[in-house]
Amino acid sequence: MLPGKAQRRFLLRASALLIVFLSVWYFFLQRPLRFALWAAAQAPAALMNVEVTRLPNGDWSFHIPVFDSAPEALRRAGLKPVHTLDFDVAAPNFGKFTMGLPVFWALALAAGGRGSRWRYLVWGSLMQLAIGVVCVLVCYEIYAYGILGQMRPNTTGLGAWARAYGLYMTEVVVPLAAPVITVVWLHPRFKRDILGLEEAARPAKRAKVVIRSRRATSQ
Amino acid sequence: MEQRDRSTAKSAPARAKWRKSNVRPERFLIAFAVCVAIAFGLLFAPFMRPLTATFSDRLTEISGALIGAAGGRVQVEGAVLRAPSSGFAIEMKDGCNGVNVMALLWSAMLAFPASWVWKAKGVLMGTAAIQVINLVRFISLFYLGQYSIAWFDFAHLYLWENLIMADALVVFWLWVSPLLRDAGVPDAAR
Repeated sequence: MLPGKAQRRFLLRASALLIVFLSVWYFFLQRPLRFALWAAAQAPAALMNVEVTRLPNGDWSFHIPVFDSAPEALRRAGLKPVHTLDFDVAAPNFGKFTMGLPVFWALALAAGGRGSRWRYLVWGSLMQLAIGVVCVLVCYEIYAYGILGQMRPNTTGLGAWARAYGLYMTEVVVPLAAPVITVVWLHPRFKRDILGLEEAARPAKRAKVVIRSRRATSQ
Repeated sequence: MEQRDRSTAKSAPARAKWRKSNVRPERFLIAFAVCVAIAFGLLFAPFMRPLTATFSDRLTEISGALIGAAGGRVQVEGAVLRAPSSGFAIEMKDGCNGVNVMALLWSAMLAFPASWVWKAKGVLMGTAAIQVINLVRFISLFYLGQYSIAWFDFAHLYLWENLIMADALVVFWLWVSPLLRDAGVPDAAR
């Protein structure tokens, strides 16, 4: 399974571009992309009745409604039901949710190819933003239930396992895998070389027909 | 087409299943997602914890041995590498032992329509390729951390993980190429 010319070239290009793009992102673009992520998260958060506020220092403040245990059981245990949870999250924690953008660009540009590159770059970038938003909201929803679980004495081991699993998937696995899956799904080279799909041939552009009058051609 | 299929069946019996099935991207993506969910569910299972911990310990030992063989000085304590001169130490945990990328690559190979022999070959070769690069990552982070914590954080949290993902993508691409060539996809992985 030795790498062929195409794979070698892709790996070298991708490595170089990943170093450049991730460095630029890490040192210069994290802050504006975090703002874009926060702005994009507003509408879906409102649908989930979640409030996400940006604090002056760049941290995010979450106000998340939660479904607590049955009121009867809580009363018997001498506890009050919790309806919402408020907590702040430091800005650097959102880095991994915006990381998909530079990684997608590095892989897509390393794959090269001809044709309408801008279309899949734009689609891929929008998908990275959308995946980042979904991951942030799901991750901190799970986190809120994790806090609630710590406040309740009767939390099951399965519940704790499910929360840890959900957090790991949304914080680590999906942000890591999403740009690679997106580039394979969108880039014509990977569509052909990995998914075995061939792009349908495009109709030839209509030639510009110049009709000259007989008099003009005879001159 | 019939003749082509017969000839590939003779030359590549391990990949014979490809002739019967085609890649349906949506089906592949769903199967991949299911495999990923199961793989990470298993990784999080309590009975897997001692296995992954032992795996991390062995990788740390190999890293220490490689540093020693190259003339470097290092102390190995379980999954921890320590520099005796500076006191700097790093521990190999779940993300650092390459199991995340391995689980993703294995899931992609299991979800792709191919014979079980070809899948097994891919899993073995892919694991070896990822772990070789992972050792380079761990050793480079050990030295980078002694030089600059800021660069260590950047390389540890973001750069190396994605470089290994790019490596996994290339491994998968190499593994898929013969399957697509046998299936008659023109220009596959030239």
